[in-house]
Amino acid sequence: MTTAITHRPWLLLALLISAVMFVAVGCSASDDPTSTPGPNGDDPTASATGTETPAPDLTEEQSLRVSLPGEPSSLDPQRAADADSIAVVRQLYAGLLRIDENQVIQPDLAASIPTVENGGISEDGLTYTFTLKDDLKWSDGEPLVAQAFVDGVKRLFEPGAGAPYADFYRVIAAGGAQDAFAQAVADELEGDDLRPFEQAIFDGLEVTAPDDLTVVYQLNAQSPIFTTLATLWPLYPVRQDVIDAAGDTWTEPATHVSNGPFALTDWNHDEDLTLGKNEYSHRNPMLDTISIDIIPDAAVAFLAYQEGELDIARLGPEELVQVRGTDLVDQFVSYAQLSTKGLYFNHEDPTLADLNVRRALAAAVDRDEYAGVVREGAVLPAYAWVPPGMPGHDPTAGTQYQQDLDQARAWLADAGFPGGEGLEIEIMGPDDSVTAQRNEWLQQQWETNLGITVTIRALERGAAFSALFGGEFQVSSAGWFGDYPDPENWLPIFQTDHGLNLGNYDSEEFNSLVAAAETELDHDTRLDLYVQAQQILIDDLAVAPLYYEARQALIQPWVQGLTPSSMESSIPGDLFLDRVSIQGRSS
Amino acid sequence: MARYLISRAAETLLTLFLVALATFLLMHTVPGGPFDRLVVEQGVSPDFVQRQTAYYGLDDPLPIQFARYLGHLVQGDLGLSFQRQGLSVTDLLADKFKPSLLLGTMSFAIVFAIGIPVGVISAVRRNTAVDYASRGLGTTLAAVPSFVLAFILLLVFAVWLEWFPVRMGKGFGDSLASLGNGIVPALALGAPATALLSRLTRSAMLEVLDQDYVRTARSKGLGTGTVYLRHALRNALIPILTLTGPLFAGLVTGSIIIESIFGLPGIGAAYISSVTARDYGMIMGTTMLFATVIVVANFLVDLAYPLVDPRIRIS
Repeated sequence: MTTAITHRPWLLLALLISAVMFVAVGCSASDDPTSTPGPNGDDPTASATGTETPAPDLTEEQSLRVSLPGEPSSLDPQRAADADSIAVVRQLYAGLLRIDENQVIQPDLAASIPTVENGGISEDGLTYTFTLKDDLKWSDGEPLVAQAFVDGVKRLFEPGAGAPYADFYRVIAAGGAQDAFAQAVADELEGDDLRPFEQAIFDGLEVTAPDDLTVVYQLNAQSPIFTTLATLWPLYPVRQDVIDAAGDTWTEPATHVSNGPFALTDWNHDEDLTLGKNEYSHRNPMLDTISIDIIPDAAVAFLAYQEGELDIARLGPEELVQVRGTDLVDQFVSYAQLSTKGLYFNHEDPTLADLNVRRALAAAVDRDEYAGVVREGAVLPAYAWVPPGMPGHDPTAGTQYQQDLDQARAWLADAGFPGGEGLEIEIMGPDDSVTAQRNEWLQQQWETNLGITVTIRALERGAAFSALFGGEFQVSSAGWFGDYPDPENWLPIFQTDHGLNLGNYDSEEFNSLVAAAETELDHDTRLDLYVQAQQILIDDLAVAPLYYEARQALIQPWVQGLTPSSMESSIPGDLFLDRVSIQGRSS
Repeated sequence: MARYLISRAAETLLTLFLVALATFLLMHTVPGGPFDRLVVEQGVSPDFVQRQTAYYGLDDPLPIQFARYLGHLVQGDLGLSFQRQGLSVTDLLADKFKPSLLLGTMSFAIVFAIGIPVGVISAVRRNTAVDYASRGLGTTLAAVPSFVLAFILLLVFAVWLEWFPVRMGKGFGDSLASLGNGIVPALALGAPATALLSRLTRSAMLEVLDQDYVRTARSKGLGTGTVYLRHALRNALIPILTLTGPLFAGLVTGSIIIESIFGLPGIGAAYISSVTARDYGMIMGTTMLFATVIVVANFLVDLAYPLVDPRIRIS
């Protein structure tokens, strides 16, 4: 017994020491500066389909193994709100229309895209009629009828807890009822007192299914983006009979019924999900299964990828460094996301209400240094708010705030702080490592370049969101991720009364341009209005864009047909997983 | 005995009530609500936040909310999770606690199976190479942060030796066979406690070994094994027993670090994420569960004292 005990600790100790050495060697080997994987910034929809010559034959087991950083909060299309839920919901459901890899709207369940010419849109632009393809079915083989879309919309507007993205679809509900609701909220009615107003909106919905193949949406105003909205998950159809029978837990695999390329076969909460090919899908995917492991720690996902347990892995900043100089570079992809991070200024703060202060702050930072050096090419410098790849992107917007220290100091002097004397700025943000690094970099830039005093207030995530939401900050950084490719998704959030106008920006001219664009049906005029609105937004520095996000991932060479997209959710290529196949993977 | 049990039960209820009150107040004092994240991160309309707040009664005064919570609690209803829409906290807790309880129990067994023998041998062979080695290792294990140790064990057992998959925790507790994959996470979880226990055992044993009765036992010519195990160890166990309750509670209530590194969906990670998400129902439910585990574990330890030391009587 004695010998056993004396030997075991030494053996373990030896293992520990050699493990530490392994880690050290691993670090130095990846420090090779000669081969830096740079982001593929020019082409936001760069497609990666494996770099090695694929084996000609399909692997017998057509299964894709991916990871999600978090547990989906709901697989109910009307309730899904977070990126992890949406990534899965997209595999399980299909909508009337769909956005393709070139961001062009295509029919999905609808036989065609409604237009005024084909009679799908009424002359007054208020009635949209969609005709379904024939023989559509649910994953349990039941026929899919138009009423399922009506049921979906109704769930979006049900009185009670509310649906997170119902706001996108205000144009469907009766206008008068919504005005009454807004008035009631303005009158500070709360809780149960608001129920009658919610009920009135619900009762005022005019979405009908005159027959099994036709669904008609009556709008309360002309909407240039309704077909775009019809591509999104909140308008997906649902099986009301299943929901009625199973209650809130209908999204569990035993009862979940969907109509997309895949169906939910297994869901071990916080562990994994398995999606199986939906034999009744109109899309006929090549994969038989998608297994989704929930792996919160990017380092673990990276390790699992290297061990061949995952086919795709997203890379965090730490993993990105480790890819360098290794063979993994061949499997590396980097592609832009429709996502802008910017400095939010609180316009009600007496100091930041001065445009010259905001100008000085915006022009004093070197965005190229941040993107290229601090983030090592994982993001792209930004000057415009609407990102590249979006209709309405204006490459010239905001370029007047490229780093120019003389100009920045002059602006600061104009604001009454020559040499930065007497100006103190506080940056508020959550305490995660990326934000901390960014805020420290901003602090250093502003203190060095402007001579001002900068403090950082790092808060726990929830507290930081609350402070941002409640306007308790001077300067903070926040981002916006495109829900759909239209500037309508990007600019109205800075209207004075908008609930997401976190910095309380207030410009009459901006408000009216955005309001005009919202109902303008002519595509070019509309985009032009948004370009003008963005110009005002940026000239005023309602927000100072800092960088565009990009995504870095590793894709195993046997994954064929994966199409990364700037609009995707948590899983690389999650908009088009029905095209993916596995070729030449051993075992 | 009956009186003792009744007074302990009253104490327990009071403790749980105070824990509930303190947690409830703290939770609502911390800035941020359960739905802010959706607005800031997902661009969800603030109208939605308002409707959810009203729907869940979060706009009511705190005393009313607390009374309502207690009212539901005594009926065994822990409410609904905000983060995992539509699921009841009770179901979620049951789901999350099972793997943590299993892993914690395995870890607890490992801690005792290694910690006590190593401590005893260290004490008996004091100031020999064996003693120095075990103390050195113990200090190392206690000093190395658990995430470092967990990653090292992951590298050794999953990457080099390939005895286990990288995601060892996957499916843990679903079947008897899956328990084998819990050995490495259980080692990592129990390492600091093993080090602590062996040191504690060593010093308790040293103290006892110097006592007169041990010398007497030796001089009577009793066998070494009998002296160490029956006379010395049994008395040395009393301070160790005191530690057992909190130790067990600490191990079964999970560790977010161990759980996230080994991909084991336990209660530790669920607790932290519920705090970050301000999932009030889950925060309260998990805290109450933890408090109950600690109170019960301590109670069982109190009942166990007389078994080790007949001089102690429960009254």
